[in-house]
Amino acid sequence: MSDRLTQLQDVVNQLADHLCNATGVLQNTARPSPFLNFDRSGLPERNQLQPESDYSRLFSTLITRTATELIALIDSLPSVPSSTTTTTTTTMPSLQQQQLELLEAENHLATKKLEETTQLAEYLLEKVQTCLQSLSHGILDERKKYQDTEK
Amino acid sequence: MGDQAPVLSSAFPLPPMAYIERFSDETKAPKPPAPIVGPFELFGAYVNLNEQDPIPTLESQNIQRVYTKPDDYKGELKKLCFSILTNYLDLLHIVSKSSNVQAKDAPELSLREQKLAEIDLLFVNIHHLINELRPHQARETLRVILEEQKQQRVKTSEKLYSFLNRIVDVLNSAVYSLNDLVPQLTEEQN
Repeated sequence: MSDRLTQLQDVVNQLADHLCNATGVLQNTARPSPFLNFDRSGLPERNQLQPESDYSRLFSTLITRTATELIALIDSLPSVPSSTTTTTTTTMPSLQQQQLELLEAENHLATKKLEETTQLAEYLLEKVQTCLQSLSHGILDERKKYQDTEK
Repeated sequence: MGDQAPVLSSAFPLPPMAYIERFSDETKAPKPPAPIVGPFELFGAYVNLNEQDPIPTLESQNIQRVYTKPDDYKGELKKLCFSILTNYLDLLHIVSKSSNVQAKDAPELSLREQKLAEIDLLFVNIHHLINELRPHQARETLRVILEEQKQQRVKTSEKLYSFLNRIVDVLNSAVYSLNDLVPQLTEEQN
């Protein structure tokens, strides 16, 4: 499932393919047209008309379907504001550029906040670890004293 | 993997040798290479990317621009689509009716060749219009990525902060319960 612009490009190429194939196939499968004032050697067979009309109907359906797909895809594109067409050198930053700069600044702020919170968490972790250490030392010392007094 | 059987190689291609040589256990992975400035080689041809104009204009390629309003993308794309279809019908008409009529404007081309050239031009224009939308799409993608990153960072820091608050609460309650126990112990000792 590719993005809309790639789909659009594919449908345009598909339309070109259909147009080329239609002319080629119809030209190949067409009945020979009669020359004026010329005696024909044999009568053309009538049942050859059927596949020709099938082909022309098939290709007309294909081409119209591809064209409607193309129109539908074009309609589904989001509207592009004219300020983003920076094909000429403009000094005014476009709306998109402003949004990007704003987002970058917000991202920096969020990163700083996350870093601060991480530092706080690390500090708290250190404190809790030292507390646990001193607690475990105290418990061990008490146990040793108790064992010594028991002996 | 390659130590035991040097003949065997992995299914994946090796990374660039310059990258491997610069990497070692002490140093971290090297920084990504800086963006290239100036012309570079692409599939044998030299490409010069212009930052102001990422898509080369039709004028620079000596191709006629058929659409009139470059701002109204959707309208122009639809008009081009319909023009292609009408020109194709004209071509079919020319090919089926006339034999090898010379074009009025360009006598060296036949009418069908001129019609083909017109259809070709329309297709080139429609592709060029689609390509012009690509930088806008790239900027939009960048904006969405930045937005997602920001949301993720804010959520993570908020979650971490709430966890820290809970930890502090648990520690405080532990200290209070310890304080309650200590007077009992001093009473027992006494």
